[in-house]
Amino acid sequence: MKIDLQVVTPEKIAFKGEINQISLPTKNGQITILPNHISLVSTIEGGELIIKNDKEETLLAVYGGFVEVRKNQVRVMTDVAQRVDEIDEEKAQKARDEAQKRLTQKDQMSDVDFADALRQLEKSLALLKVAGSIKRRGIK
Amino acid sequence: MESTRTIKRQIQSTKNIAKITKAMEMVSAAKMRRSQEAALIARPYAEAALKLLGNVSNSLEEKKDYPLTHKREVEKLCLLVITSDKGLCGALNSSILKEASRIINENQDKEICLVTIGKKGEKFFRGKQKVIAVFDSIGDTVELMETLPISHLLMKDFLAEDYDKVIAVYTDFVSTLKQSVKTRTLLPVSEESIKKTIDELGINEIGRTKKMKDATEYIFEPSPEEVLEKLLPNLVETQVFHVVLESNASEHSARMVAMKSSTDNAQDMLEDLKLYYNSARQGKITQEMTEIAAGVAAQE
Repeated sequence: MKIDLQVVTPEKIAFKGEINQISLPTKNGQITILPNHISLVSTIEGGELIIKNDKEETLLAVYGGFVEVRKNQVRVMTDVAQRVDEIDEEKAQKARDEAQKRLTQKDQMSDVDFADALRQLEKSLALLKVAGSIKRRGIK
Repeated sequence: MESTRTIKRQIQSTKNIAKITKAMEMVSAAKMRRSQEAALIARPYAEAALKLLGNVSNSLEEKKDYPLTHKREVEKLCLLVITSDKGLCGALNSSILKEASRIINENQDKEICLVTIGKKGEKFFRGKQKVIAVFDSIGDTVELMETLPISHLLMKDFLAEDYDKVIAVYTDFVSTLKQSVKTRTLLPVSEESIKKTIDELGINEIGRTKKMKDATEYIFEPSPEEVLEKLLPNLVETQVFHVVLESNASEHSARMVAMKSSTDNAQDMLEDLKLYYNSARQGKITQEMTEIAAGVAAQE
């Protein structure tokens, strides 16, 4: 029995295929979904999404969104989903610094710009978090 | 017979027009490919969000009332009209504006306000209708960020009861040669409108979306309220983004096709003009010859 998984973002389909199990960061903490899981809807926080298929393991950095589990079908809708080897740590750090700088000039900013900066900050933090945790565990 | 010089001038200007339309065709073709890709790539996400909400909407009905699903007597209607910034894209804009005007005529007893995306829509409705917000120069490659101000404005005003219903009028991208004008109810979020949208998407491309199956009871984590409070605004944002992308892809496809046919027409015209020019030239030579012949005959 396998799970039919689809990870989609507004910009692309990040992952599609049959897998054995998936772990994802939800509001209540990291959960793992195995085949025959009960129907579930939950929100996703920033963090890492671990997909296991046989011996193959795929790690994705995700940020925000929803997961829907239904009859061995898992659909993950997230704002950002990036493969670990695609994360550019330097770029993420730069984005974080820039966002922080922008946030300090809050008074001169419109609401839209502020929200934009906040989002950028959160997104870069999520990416850095995943990149960091992978380094610590010594996986590629 | 027109003088050969006028015809020659006409040929030259037609040639220039053909050159320009050809160049525009090339530009649109490149933009078209990019915007079509963007629209197609965004579809799975928009569909997934719609389906999810469609699936949970059964559980939604009996539960607490959410502000965004709140159905009110429709007294004030808001139309989100999506047109292009620039012209020269065939009947695209006029069919959108026709559809929007039709809806306005149908709802004359209601108060109507408009939010337009694209300069063409703004120009058309300014002065005739109440245009409350204008978004233009969205650009050829749209990102979710760029459409957020639009969706946030709509949600804010809806919650403030500035209007009771929001309908989007946009062009759905079917293929390069076919774009169809569609309307979609964005707010309030209701089970019927979601199902209708899903059905429409399902009809568009067979197999793209399956009909909704029986309802399953879901567990919500942490709670249904929290999930739906996030999911509902997200759905509206996604839908606005989606309709903008579809319209964008349609615009570039329509312009590409329009420019291609005008290039073809210019070529046809050139051929006709050349024939005409040659016969005029021939006529002139014949006439000169007869004149000379007549002159010689007179001298003898």
